[in-house]
Amino acid sequence: MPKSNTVITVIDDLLAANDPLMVKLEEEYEVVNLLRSPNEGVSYLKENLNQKNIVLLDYLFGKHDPKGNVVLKEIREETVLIPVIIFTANGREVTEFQDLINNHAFAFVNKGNYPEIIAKIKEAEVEITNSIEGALEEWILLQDKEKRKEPYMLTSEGKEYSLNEILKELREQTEVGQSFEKDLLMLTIDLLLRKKESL
Amino acid sequence: MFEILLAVDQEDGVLGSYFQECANDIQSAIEDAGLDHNLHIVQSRQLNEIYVGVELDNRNSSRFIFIAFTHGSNEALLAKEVFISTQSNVDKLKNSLTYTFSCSAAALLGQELVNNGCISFFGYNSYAYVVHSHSGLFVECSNFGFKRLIEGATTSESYLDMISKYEEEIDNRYKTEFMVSVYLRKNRDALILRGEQNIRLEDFILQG
Repeated sequence: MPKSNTVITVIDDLLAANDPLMVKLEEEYEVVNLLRSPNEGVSYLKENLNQKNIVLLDYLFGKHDPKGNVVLKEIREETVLIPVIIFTANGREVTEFQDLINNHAFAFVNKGNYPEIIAKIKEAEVEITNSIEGALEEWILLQDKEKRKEPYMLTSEGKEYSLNEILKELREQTEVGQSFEKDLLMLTIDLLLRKKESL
Repeated sequence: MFEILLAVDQEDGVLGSYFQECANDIQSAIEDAGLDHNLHIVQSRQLNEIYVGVELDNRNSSRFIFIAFTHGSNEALLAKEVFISTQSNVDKLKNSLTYTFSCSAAALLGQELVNNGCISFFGYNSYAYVVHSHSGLFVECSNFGFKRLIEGATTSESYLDMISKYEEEIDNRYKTEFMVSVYLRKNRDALILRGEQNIRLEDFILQG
C-alpha cells in the first residue's frame, strides 16, 4: 500500500527514534518528524502550514519547557486546522483539561496504547481530508504564491481580501473564515437543487 | 428622450476602477443602442447630498433614470459622504427607475425609495462581491439587467434574465473556478427588484 502524504509531527522529548510507534508511523506515512522541544515543534508547524499536518503532542516536557496546553494554544494562534492529539504517559498529570478542550485538542491518548494512537491519527486524517475548510485550504495553496498576495475578492461595502488573507481567516476560524465555508456549502446546495450535480 | 443621471465613485480606493468599468460599459450600451438621451455623470467629488440633491431636483418632476455605481448600506447610498439616505432625502428619487450595484441598499433604502415615489428599484439586499481577476465578468452580470431593459424587456423580465445570467455563469465556472461561482451565487441571491414589475424603459421617455 502506498504511504500517505499527510505529515505526522511528533513533539516529544523522550520518545526514541526507533520506538515501535515511530517505526509503525514511518511504515505508513512518507514524512514523520520527531521534534524534541515545544519551540522547535511550533516553529516547524508555522513554517509548514502549507502541508497536511497531524501533530502528536506530549503533555509534559522538561522543567524549562511549557506544558502541552500552552504549546497547543501557540499552535492555535496560527491555525485551528491542524489536528493535535495529546499524548500522555499518565492521564493524572493533565490538569488543564479546560484549556485543551477550548483549544480544540483532537484527542487525548495514553502513550502506551499504540493501537489507539494509530486509530486516532487515522481518524484525524479522514477529518482533514473530508473537511470543507481543508479543501478550501488545499485549493488556495495550489494557486500561484505571488498571486495569493494580490487582492482577490472585493465587496461593495469596501472590503478586500487576498487569498492569503482568506486562508488566514480560515485557519483562525474567524467569523469571516466560517462564512467562506458556508458560502461554499451554499453553492454546493444550489448546484444540487438545480440538478447541476448529484450526490 | 431619456434623462439619465449616472453616479460613479471612481475614486474609491477598493472598488473605484470597478465602478468606472461598470459606468463605461453602461454608457457604451446606451450609445450603441442609439437611444436618444441626455446623460449627466456625477463623479466621486460631487457625490454629496447637496450636489446630488440639486441634480435630482432638476429631473424628478418627470420620469428619469438614475444609475449608481457606489457603495451602499441598508439605509443609504454613499461615497465619501452619504448622498441618498432614508434619514434625509428619500423623496429625491421619485419618478425614477433606479439601478444600483451598491451593497445592502435594496434592503431598507430600496423599499423606502419606492414608498416615496421611486418607480422601480434594482439593487442588492446584502453585500455585493467582485472577484478581482474576473472583474469583466462581474461587470457583465451587474449590468445585464439594464441591458435587457434597453432591449425592451420589462423590469421583471430583466430581473429574471439577470438571475439566469448569474446562473449561467455560475454553471460555466464552478468546476474550474469555484470561488468565482461562490461570489456570483451570493450576488444572485442578493439581487432584488422593488416597485413596478412590468414597466419598460420606453415608459421613461420624456415627450417634447
